[in-house]
Order: sequence, then C-alpha cells, then structure tokens
Amino acid sequence: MTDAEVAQAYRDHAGAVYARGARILRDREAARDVTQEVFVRCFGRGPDLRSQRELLAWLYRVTTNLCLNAIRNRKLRGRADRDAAHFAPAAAAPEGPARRGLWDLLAGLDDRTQAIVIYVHLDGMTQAEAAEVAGVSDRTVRNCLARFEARARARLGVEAEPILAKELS
Amino acid sequence: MNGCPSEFALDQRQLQGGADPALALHLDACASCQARLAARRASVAEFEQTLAAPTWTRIEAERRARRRAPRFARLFSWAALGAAAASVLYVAVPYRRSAVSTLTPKGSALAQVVCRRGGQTFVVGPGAEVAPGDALRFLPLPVWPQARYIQVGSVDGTGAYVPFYPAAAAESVALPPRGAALEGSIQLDDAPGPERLFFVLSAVPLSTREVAQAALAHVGAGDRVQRIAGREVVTGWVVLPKRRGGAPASP
Repeated sequence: MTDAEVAQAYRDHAGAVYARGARILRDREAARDVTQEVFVRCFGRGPDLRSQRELLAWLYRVTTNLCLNAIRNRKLRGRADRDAAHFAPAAAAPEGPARRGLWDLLAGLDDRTQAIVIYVHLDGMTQAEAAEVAGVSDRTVRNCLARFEARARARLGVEAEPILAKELS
Repeated sequence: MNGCPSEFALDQRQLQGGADPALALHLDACASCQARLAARRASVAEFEQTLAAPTWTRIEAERRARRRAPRFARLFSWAALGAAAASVLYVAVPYRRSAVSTLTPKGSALAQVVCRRGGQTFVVGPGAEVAPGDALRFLPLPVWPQARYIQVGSVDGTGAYVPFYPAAAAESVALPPRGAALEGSIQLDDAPGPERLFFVLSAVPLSTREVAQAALAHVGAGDRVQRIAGREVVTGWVVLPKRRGGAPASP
C-alpha cells in the first residue's frame, strides 16, 4: 500500500480496529499497541488489497492474530491478575468458571481455530463471513467450530456458544 | 433480517454508506444492537479524540525504524524440535566480526536456533546459511539464573531492527519453562542478509524500543551489552548469512 493509502485506511478504520482490539483484550493500552502494529504492517502490504472489502477482511485477520499473540504473551508473563480481568470479566457470575475454562480451552487450539471461534462467537459473524475473513472454506469454518464445541462439551460439560455470546452483550 | 449483524457486517455497512434497508430496520428495532453500537461508537470516539494522532506518530516512527522489515509469521509448532535440538548452536557472547557471516561458538550459549525448511527441521550450525522462507525457532538455554524475560530481534542487511519476540507488545516476553522453545516461529522474508539475531535476557521486562536502540548501537561491533535502560542484562549475537532467492539445500 502506498503512504497515502495507509493514511486513508488509518482514517477510515483505526477507530474500529482499536474498538475491536479493546473488546477482545479488555485492555486499552494493549489495544492501542495492536492498532499501531496493524497499520505499521499496512506499509508492507503489496497491491493485493484491491477493494475496501478485502482491506476490511485483512484488518480483521491481522487484528485477531495480534490480539491472540497479546493474550499469549500476557499469559506467558504470568500476569494472572490481568488475565483474570480479561478472561473472567464476570467472575462472580455463575458461568465465570466455565467462561475461564472456555478461554483456556481456546488457548490450546491451533491459531486458525482460535481466530474462527473469535470471529463467530465474539464478533458474531456468520460462518460465511468468518470464512471470508479467515480466507478458508465454509466447511473449514464448520469443522473448526465443531472441534471447539466438541472439546468444550467433553472437557467442560458446557455448550460454548451461550457463554461466549455473553461477550457480545 | 434474522439475528443481529456482526461487527464485520456493520463495518461493511459503513463502507457502503448504510445502504442496506433490512439492516437499518433491524438496527432501529434491536435494543441489543443499539447498545452494542453505542459502546462501539464510544470506543471509536475515545480513540479518535485522544489516541489517533499520537498513535499515528508512533506508527510513522516504527515504520522508519523497520524500513525493510522482514515479515514474520507464527507458522507451526514443531513436534520434532526436541529431537532436533539434540545438537546445539551456541549463540555467542559476543560474536566476532572477523568471523563474519558464521557463528562464533564462543562465550556463554544463550539459545539454540532451529530451522524448518520445507519438510525438514534442523539445528542451525556454525556457518549455516538461511534463506527467505526459512522458519526459525529459538530454545533459550539456562545460562543466567536471574533471567526471567527474553527479547529476540534481528538487524538485517539494511540496518533495520525487527523485533521477533515480542512481535507487537511493548515489553519482553517471559521465558518459557526450561527446555521449552519460544512459542511460534519466525519466517524470514527476502530482506538482504545477514540476519544478525540479538538475544537479550533480563530479570525484569524491558521496553522493546530500548532493546532496539541497544541493538542498533552495538550491532557494528557485535558488542556484548551489559545494561539496557539501567537494567542488568545478558545479551548475545548470532550472525546468519542469508542467501537471496532460492533456499540452500538443507544440511
């Protein structure tokens, strides 16, 4: 992307990228770091982001990956207090332990499945939208979600969707 | 329409000027969506009013610092890492410039460097050459009992420093459990070589910016750096000659 294109993309999308990062990470400073990195990476992109829709999908994809990296780094640093704030924002609620368990379960899955679960369960995307953003087939999305749901049921005895859907409210 | 629109759909709607009547109808009638949109608008407004300008300044500064930044990707986990790590590449402290483009296995070993190329995984040995597309993993070694955190980055042939660990965060990452590699891998791009990898162990998290400055200040001589931002550190360099174009044959 040219300098002018990146500047325009920043004006059009930076606020939304930040808002989404803050919602996933529950940490404004980390969301700002993610926003910064997303647009730094725009400079390295070739002319393959031809349409606004492709650019939007790419921004979602990179933001998601960076947020997942931030969560991993946060866990690696052992910042248990912030983890708790992030993973269990409603820890006192009855579903708190299940929600924490779901996030731990998610962390054990591959990057693509983690991203797809976030698209569908946190962003509320349809499976077709998740497939478009992830750059995979609808079938792959279905398989990833089925794998996640099956693990959730087997290990936690819960359905993942109702608990994760609360993140949207 | 059935169900609430996703963030993605809302963003698309914005790009299209809000032209979808069914979506507009839903948004007018759905309290949940209205609350979600209000929260989103507040977050966007917060960013645009207080953070957008200073963040853009940081983006431009970061871009200048990276210049031809190698792109990296966390590609895969290597089940074979443990086996491949049976032999050791010593990240020397310090490397000697006279040794150039080879590794100098002198001083304390900080980490093993393992390379995946095609379907093969191997420990990068002294004098080994890397190539664009190679994916590297790093296995820190227990050389300093006080070490709790690590940063890894590279100064490429253009003189640009690119942080690898962490890639996006502002501070060092915690060392993994003993015997474990840093999570993920780094994929080398086609930036000119050599790749001069800079390893920094510390007892407390360090700013990535300060580590980058230290790397750029000392890369010329390959000096050992003993303090960064006043904090005691143990550092090491390893220089990997890099072939342009096609990958060399795996050892």
